[in-house]
Parts: sequence; structure tokens; C-alpha cells
Amino acid sequence: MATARHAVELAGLRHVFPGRGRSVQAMEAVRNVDLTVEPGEFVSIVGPSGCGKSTILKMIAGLLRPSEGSVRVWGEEVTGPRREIGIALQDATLLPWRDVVSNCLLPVELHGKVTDEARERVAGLLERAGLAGFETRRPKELSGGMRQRVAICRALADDPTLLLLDEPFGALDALTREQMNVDLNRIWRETGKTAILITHGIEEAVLLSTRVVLLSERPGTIVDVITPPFPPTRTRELLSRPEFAEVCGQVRDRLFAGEQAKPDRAEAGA
Amino acid sequence: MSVRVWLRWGVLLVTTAILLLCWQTLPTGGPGSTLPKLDAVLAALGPGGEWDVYLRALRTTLIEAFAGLAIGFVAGVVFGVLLGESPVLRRGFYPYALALQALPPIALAPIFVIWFGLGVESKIGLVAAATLFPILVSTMTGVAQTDPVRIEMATAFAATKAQIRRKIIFPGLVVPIFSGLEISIVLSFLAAITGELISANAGVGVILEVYQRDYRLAEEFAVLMILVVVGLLLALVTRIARRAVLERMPHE
Repeated sequence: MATARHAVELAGLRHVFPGRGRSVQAMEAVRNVDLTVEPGEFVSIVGPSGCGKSTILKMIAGLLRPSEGSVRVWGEEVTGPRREIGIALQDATLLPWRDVVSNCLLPVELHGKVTDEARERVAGLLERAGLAGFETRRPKELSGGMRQRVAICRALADDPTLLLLDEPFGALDALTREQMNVDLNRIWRETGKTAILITHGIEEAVLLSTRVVLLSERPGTIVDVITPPFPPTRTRELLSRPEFAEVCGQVRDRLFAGEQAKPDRAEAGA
Repeated sequence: MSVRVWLRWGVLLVTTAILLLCWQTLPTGGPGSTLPKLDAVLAALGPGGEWDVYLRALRTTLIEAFAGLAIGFVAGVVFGVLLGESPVLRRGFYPYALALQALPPIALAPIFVIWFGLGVESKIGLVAAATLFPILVSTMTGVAQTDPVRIEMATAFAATKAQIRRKIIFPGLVVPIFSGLEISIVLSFLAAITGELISANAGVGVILEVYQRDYRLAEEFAVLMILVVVGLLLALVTRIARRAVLERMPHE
């Protein structure tokens, strides 16, 4: 049947971290999450820290098994890490003994042989990420922002169909972060990938996404989904427009409302 | 040249001159003297010295040191990786490793002579025993301390266990292993000579003992001078190797 496949489908997703003896209690991180991501979308998942955002991403990446519910990527049940997924984490996690190109080629090496095609693709990605001329540098010779760019190029190196980003700019200063966001938007448009971004930056989420998913405090559950009404091309100029501030305010209100609605917030936060 | 440079080299030069002068003038140098005069030591180091004896002994000692180090290195890396990767093995064997390490390797010399004889074999065994542990411990710690985020990253890219070992863990061991090797290089030379002093039929330790017995103190000091030079050369080579390793396989 020629039904359009969804990029990602989360159905009734729940994750409980098991306890250990008496000292560590079992903790429910994610509860009843349903979400469908269509091909070509850029979806951000926003929520307070500790709300299980990263847990959701790890389940999509196949690094964690859901306690209940299911994760499907391109229609297939996720049972472990998949080759069509590219991932970038909060820490760039580059290998210090490899140069920039060789770091980017790691996923290609892991999935098979490094072909000329892959080398060309990486060269193109580095060029687009503003890293041309840094191909043979080692990670320690790069700034934090450049390292994150390399990590994103690495995520895209084996031409994945799904890009997962776990707060990749969390450790960067505000100015660098803004620049990275604009660059990421361009890379997303030019490569046409489906992307899921975990972040606690409201502006970042609104600036980059076609949809913003709002998560409650732990156990994380979806409180709202907001669709920023902007064309795909997002520039720095958008940040200072009143409509942009309005959407951000809307997101903030919804996140805050979700928090206040919980009567047992003090205990839950403990 | 600046005053600072003059001061630095000048002080060293003056100190050396005073020391050499004392060495030449203070010892009586006659029969019964316990310290040979400088010119006697220099003569023993000159073309008239027993260079064939010195060099033959040095060759034996260096062969023992390097053969033992090679064995200790390979065994240390292999056991270090095994203990680092398997918590079960670590729990079972690491206490024994610690217990063996608490034993000064030199104390093994007599029993190694019984097991392996008076020749180079017992000294090679001794050097291997002495150099094994620094390498084992640094390898093991290196494996156990591999950044878990790197492993998670590779896992997310669908790496197999073998790929994680080959591409993430092993390359990260180069620098820790080299740190262990640096300690073991010093120990290898030390263990070889000490083993020879205890019982052997050739090597630097043996000629040191022979010259002592014959009271040929000029030659005795000449051999010590040679050991200083060899020791400094080893340290220099290690330092150059360290720079090359860090250049090729940076750790941070």
C-alpha cells in the first residue's frame, strides 16, 4: 500500500528508570507520549530540565527501550540503534586523536567502507558548516562552537534520513548559539532531512522548528504542540520581530500553565 | 646574550669546575684510597680503558632490559585490557595483581636464578616482572576510564562491540599505556643491573662487582659514568617518543 510513511511515530510511550534496592527509587521519566513526525519536519521538544526530553530522544535513537508503548522510525519498530539515524549530543564528543574530516567519517566507517562519495559529502557538509580549511585540524584546536558544527556534520555524514539533536548548543554562549541556529536552519533546508531537536531554549525551538512540542515536568507528557507560523527560511532578523516574540510568549505561557496545573508540584520536584 | 642566560650557564660552569677540581685534588689516590682521582677515572674512560669489557657488559644489560621490557609490555597490555574490560576478571584477579605488586621485584631475583639459571634468562624474567605492573595498571585504568559518552555516541551510530573496542577504546589507550611505559623503561634498566648484582655471569652489574672485588676503583667509576650517559640517553629518547605519541594520538 502506498500510504505515506511517517518519519517517527511515538505511541503511548512510557519510560521508568528502575530503582536499585532502597536507596534509589524507581523514577517515571516519560508518561503517555504520542507524537508523529512527518518527513521533512523540524520538530523541537521543549520542557523544564529533568522532564524526560533526552529520555524520549534516546528511545528514538534505540539507546533506551520504552517501558511501555512503541517507537517506530520510518514505519519500523525501533529495537536498537539504526543506521539511518544521525545523532549529535550536548557534548560534541569528538575523538581527540582524529582530525575534523576523520571525526566526521566515523559513522561512515562504522557502517561500512569510506567511499569517495562519502568523502565528497563530508567535504560539502564542512563547507556548508563554515569549516572549510579546518579539515585537518584536531578537536583541541577548535572553539566550542566549531566542535559542535563538526558533531552536526558527523551526524549528517552517512546521509541519515533522520537527524536527532540533543541540546547540541546547550554549552555555547548566546551569540555563538544564535549563529549556530541560523546555520542549522540553512543546513536543514539544504539537506531536506527530518530533524528532532531537544532543547530548553524557547527562542531556539521557535526559531528552528516547524512544530514545537511542549513537555510537562517529570514525568514528561505532552501539554501542547505549537506551530510557529513562519516560512522555512529563518534568519537572525526574525528574532527581533514582534510575531516571533508573540509565539515565544505563547510557548512560555503554555509551559508555565502546565506547571501550575499540577497541585503536587512541590513533592514531584523533590 | 642576556644576563639571565649568562647567569644560568655561568653558575653551572663554575659549579662543575669547582667539583672537578675537588675531585682531582682532594682524594689521595694512593693505595687504600677509597676515591680515585679525576685523572685516573678519565684514563679509564680514555682509549686505554677496558672498553671491550664495558661495552660487552652494557650490551648484555641492555638486551636483558629490552627483552624483559618487551615481555612485560605485551603481558601488561594484554592483561590490562582483559582486566579493564571484564569486571568479573578484575574482581577475581586484581587483588592478586596488587599483592604481587607489593612484592619488590628484586626480592624475586634469587628464585629466578633457581628457575632460569645464571644467564640472561633470569634477568629477563626479573625485568619482565618489574615492568609488567605499571603497564598493566595504566592500561586497565585507561580501559575502565573510557568516556562513557564516547561509547554512547558510537553505539547511537550502530557500532558493534568490536568496533567500539577498535575505534573508541584502543586508540584512547595509547597515552595511558605510554605513561606506564615511561615508568617501566626506568625500572627495566634498574631491575637488570640489580639482578646482575645479585647473581649473574655477565652484564654491568657483574663488572661493577668484579672491579669492586679487585679494588679497581677508577674502572668502577668509569662504568658509573657510562651508566649516567646511558640513563640520560634513555630519558631523552623517551621524551622525544612522548612528544611524537602526543602529536599523533592526542588524549584531550
